Amino acid sequence: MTSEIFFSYIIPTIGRASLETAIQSVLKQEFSQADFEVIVVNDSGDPLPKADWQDSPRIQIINTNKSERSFARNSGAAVAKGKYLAFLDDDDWMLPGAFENFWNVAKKCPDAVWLYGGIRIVDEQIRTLAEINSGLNGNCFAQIMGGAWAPIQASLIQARAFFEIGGFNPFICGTEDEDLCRRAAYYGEFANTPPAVACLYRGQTWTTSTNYLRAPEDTKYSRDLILSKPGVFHRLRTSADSSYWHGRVLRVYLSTISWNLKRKRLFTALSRILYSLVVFASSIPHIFARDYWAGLRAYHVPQTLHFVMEKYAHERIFREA
Amino acid sequence: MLTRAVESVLAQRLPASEFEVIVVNDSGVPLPEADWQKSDRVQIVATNRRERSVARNLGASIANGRYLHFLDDDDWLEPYAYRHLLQLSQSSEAKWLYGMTQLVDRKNKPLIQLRHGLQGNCFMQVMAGEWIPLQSSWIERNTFMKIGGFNALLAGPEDIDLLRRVLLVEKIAETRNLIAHVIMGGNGSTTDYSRHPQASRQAREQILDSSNVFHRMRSSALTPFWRGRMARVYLTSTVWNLQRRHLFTAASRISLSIASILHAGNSILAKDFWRAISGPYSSIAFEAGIGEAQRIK
Repeated sequence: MTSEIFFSYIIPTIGRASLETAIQSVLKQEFSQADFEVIVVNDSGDPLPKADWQDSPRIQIINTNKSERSFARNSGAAVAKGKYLAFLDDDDWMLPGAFENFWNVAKKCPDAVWLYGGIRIVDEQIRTLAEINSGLNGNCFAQIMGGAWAPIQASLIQARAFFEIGGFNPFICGTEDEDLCRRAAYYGEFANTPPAVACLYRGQTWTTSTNYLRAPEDTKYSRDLILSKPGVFHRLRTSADSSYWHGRVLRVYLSTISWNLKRKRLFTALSRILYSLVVFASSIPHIFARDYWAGLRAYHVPQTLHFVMEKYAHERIFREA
Repeated sequence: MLTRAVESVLAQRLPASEFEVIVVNDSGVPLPEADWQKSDRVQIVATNRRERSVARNLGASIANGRYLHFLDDDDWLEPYAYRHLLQLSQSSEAKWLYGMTQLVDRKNKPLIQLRHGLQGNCFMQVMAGEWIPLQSSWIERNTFMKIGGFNALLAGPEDIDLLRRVLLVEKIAETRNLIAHVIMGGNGSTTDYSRHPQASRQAREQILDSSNVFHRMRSSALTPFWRGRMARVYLTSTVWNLQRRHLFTAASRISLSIASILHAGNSILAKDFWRAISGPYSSIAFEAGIGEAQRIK
């Protein structure tokens, strides 16, 4: 029996008050083309306080018992019936018209495993700090591996693909969404819709349960696991479509060399060195382009949260000075 | 069948406040009504026809207990099973507790009993094919979460893979009491890990890539036989990687094979060492059980 539900919204919560906004932004979408459900994964360890939204027939609550984010999200996915899965955090919310946009891009690209739109970053007065959309379509493995951002809050993931790639990796805590995105890019194609569909709150009162100190290490671990998969080199090469991304691919290989050396994985490091040389050799036509070196040297890729927030922080310091 | 499984848990001789039952219905259709559904110890959650591992990980994440017990819907427990395991938990710091398993055929006819005799650090033994049924085991929930739960990409050998990953970091303890009755497919000749040799090999390769594996195997390979087994693990992995043209991984495995032979010291003079290197993997407990069953016949 196949289900008729188009997508399942999975909202893990640790009991923050902002949960209400997140849920209402989903329940109040004007959308009649298909059915959807909302799965609230309460990982706080305590029952959720009573609220009106709990009476909605679309809502299902499951109580996981402090199982960490990846487990909570995978649990939500396990009970979901939708053809697509969406993951929203309890401090973010969807913008009006989001579902309409998702529906259109899903109709247009039924084979894409990852559909996404733009994301709006706002401060405490709901002022727009930035709108980000990297606009990637098709095979964008090199871009995603190289650091391009397809924010999970603004994405729909094909449920079949989600399980095929094993769901969220519980060993990566904090940047597990980026890891999932990399594995999805390895596995299938992306499709983009230009408008902003989700809102990410980054005001001064913003707090997070994410341990960002772990993020750089987790990112390297995630990339290294993926680089060990078969056919990666070929897929990276076919998706690197400009000098910038050729430089970026080389950076991906180079950065895992030291990671493996530090862990005394000498043979893997040797293999990565060899691949770096091959990547370099195959990108020789690009080495006179400035973009190539820009890609190789840049710490963050444009149209990512870090890039934008760094710029914003600079401006604020400048303003205050 | 499911009713028998659930009722065997509800009938445990243990205060009801000590345990809960989570039924993960992965059938895609609602469960037929049954008396046990009225018990306030039972919680039912429906998954939408996912793999076993996904369903079990979901059950684990909503569980409140200190220990997790995974029972399949066609198996059942001894009435005192939980009490034995609880007692064991009070005297042991091991994170994986287990007891004996009675294998039965499809007609519920007893086949053999499994006595494993694994205690403490047994990483080497489980890497070489020893296997303990989940049905007879308690796994500490924190440990389960820490090692990432069941590998959702493995269909078939996910139980032995979990056991290996737990024993890579933790210890195991055994109680000499019968815990569970487990139905074996066919004539009782197949086990989970031999049913899916390809997936099983891949899972073991992933474990060999983890850190501290060499050291952990060495410290659990204390006899010439197990030292031979250790060399065999790396040698077979070398061949497997060569066949798949993972040349650098193969090079790493061959150097670890040589290292494990060098570390074996005097053991290489023992006949057992060479028997272990050349012989195929098997579960000693399983073979002992079959041998006993044939003797009784």
